[in-house]
Amino acid sequence: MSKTKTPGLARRAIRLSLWLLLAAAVGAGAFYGPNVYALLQVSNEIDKISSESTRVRGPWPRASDACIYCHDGMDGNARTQLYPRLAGQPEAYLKKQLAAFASGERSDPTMTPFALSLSEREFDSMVSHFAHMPPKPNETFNADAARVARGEALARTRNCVSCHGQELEGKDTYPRLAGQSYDYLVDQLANFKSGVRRDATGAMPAIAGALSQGDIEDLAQFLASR
Amino acid sequence: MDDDVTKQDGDSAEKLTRRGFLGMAASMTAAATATALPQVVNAATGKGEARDVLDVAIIGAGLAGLTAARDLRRAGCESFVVLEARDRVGGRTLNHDLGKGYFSEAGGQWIGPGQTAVADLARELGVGTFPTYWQGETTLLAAGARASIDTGGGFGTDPKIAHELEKLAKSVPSGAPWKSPRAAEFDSMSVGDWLAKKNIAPEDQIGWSTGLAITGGSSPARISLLHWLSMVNSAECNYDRLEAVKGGAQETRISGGSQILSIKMAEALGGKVRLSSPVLRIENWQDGPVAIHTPQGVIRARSVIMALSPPLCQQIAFDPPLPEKRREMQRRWPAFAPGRKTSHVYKKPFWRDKGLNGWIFQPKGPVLWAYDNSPEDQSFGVINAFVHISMLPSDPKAAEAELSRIYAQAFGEEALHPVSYHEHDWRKADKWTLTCVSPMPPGFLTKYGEALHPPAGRLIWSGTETADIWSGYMDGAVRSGHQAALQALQAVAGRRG
Repeated sequence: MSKTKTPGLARRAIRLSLWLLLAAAVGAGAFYGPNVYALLQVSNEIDKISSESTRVRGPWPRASDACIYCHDGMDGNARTQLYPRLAGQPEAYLKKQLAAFASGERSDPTMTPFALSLSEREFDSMVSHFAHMPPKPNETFNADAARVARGEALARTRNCVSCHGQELEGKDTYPRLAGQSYDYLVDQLANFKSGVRRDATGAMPAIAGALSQGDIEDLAQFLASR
Repeated sequence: MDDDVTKQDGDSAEKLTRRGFLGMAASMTAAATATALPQVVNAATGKGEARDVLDVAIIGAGLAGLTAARDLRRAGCESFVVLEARDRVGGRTLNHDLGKGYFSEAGGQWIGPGQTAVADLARELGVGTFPTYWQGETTLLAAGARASIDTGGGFGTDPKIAHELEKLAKSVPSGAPWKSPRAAEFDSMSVGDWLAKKNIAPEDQIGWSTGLAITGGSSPARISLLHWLSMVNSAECNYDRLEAVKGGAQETRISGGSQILSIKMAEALGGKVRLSSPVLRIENWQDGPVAIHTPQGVIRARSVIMALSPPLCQQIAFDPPLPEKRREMQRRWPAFAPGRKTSHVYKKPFWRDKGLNGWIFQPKGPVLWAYDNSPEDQSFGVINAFVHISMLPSDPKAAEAELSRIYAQAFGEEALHPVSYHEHDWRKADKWTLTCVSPMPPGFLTKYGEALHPPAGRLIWSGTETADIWSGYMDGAVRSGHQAALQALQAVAGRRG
């Protein structure tokens, strides 16, 4: 492993920004061999990530950057099953949910204060950010074929597509379900069933209320694997 | 004299047990007859039965609550109990047991310069400390590229900009930032708004985002400048002291893992600590005695130390309701930095032999920051990581494998085969921790900060969020525990005088 041991550079390593340092080290280049090439490569990649983020998500600093720790990663590359995927959710649905968190109609210890803390501009920018983010398939979910088949039958008899769209892609205030995080789906169906999550239309409590825990899991298997 | 103290302790403990039992029996009767005979409830919670009432009840057996309990006992007060919701003590500190007496931390873990309260506590408890490992090169991974560079135990923040923040921080008192003469101005913008005027180079933006996420709990656009300056002020207006490992708040580790502090305090307190006792409801907090309802029964106390974070207070029902400002403060408290932390355990810290310090920054990927968390004697090698929750499979086995591959890219093939893996997703593990640090959004502190400290009737607010110095840190928790114990003792003395 090549090391950057020159005293001048070492001092700068302590004092300069890590990311700026890359540029500095590269500038002082010729003397340090293969690691300099590696630094140049990393530096170029960081540049690319930064400019790509600006292109896709708007100029830094971005309010929506606060969402990526739990939701969707940097550009929709969510890999968790515990936290919901927001990419490609209908704008009206995202607005309604954020507003419901703020009003307490849908209560959550994380999302309620978060929604309450947003300025109108931040609220709109987050909604628009996720609504326009292209959804990706849920690749980290390992579906069980038999359960998916049972879930598909349940989805058919419950006519999920009538509200959620032919491809379960969501529309208006109805969320996209295709490729949603598995554990999140199970939690939400259970919450509709228990009354923790409300739905003014009464549709979801009625549907979820008639499902057993096994049904809920089967249905979630089907939806997550779409 | 020692004998006297011991004897007194023993008597009091016996009385407490008897009182506790009687108190519980009385309240259960009260609960059973509540609907039919409301006047019985009034009698049971009234002032008539003084002997069933404790001087102090402490809610929360984390560093704050246990420090307060320890101080009460040291002052000679034995009429208290500590109620803990979980089946363990330590709050936001938690040890993963690696075997053979070694641990890696899932939660708060470091002590830094100026964090004298927690350092003193460790010494008093006979708990050792040792330096966090930072020597060697830090690894950067971006897309397929990999490079390593010596960052001198810091995160390499631009010193010019850091120095500007240090200067501004001088006017922002860490424990009450809303009292800064420039509070309104600083709280009207985010750190991001402020940085945006500094023409941060695109490649440096990621550095700022990473630094604020790790230390502040959110992105620059969502953290109030006032709040950030108050954190810098905690660090004596020295940016490195806040952010760095070498010379900073991450400099020192605790032998036996940080949770050992709480475990040792709880052991000494014995039966005073009641686990699995979540507080559901608090009644009569204005004039006392306060009735504290748990699934195990009702505890009654003259003063209550609320040693839990403000958003957790929001999960308790208060009758009558808390003052409006306090309630709003709790409801809006930014409990949105939950955090998932992982530990890969290897036979040896093999990366050290390669001149690497075990740190990884990944500007785009699951690893926010990975670091060497090996035991002092290197009997294992441990890589801990703060991860992007959304960007890592929730399944622990899949997460372990994915991180192992990242570590292999950084440190070599040996990283593919950890001997064990531990992790903790604080938001999902249980409902008793809502957030790590609290990323205050613009506007919050100037509007609600004043409601943070003033006691409400018999309720004394404690927990790291209330600390004057190092709020949000283990040190702040210990400081807040000392402070709450003093307040409670004063209340007890006042009622006797």
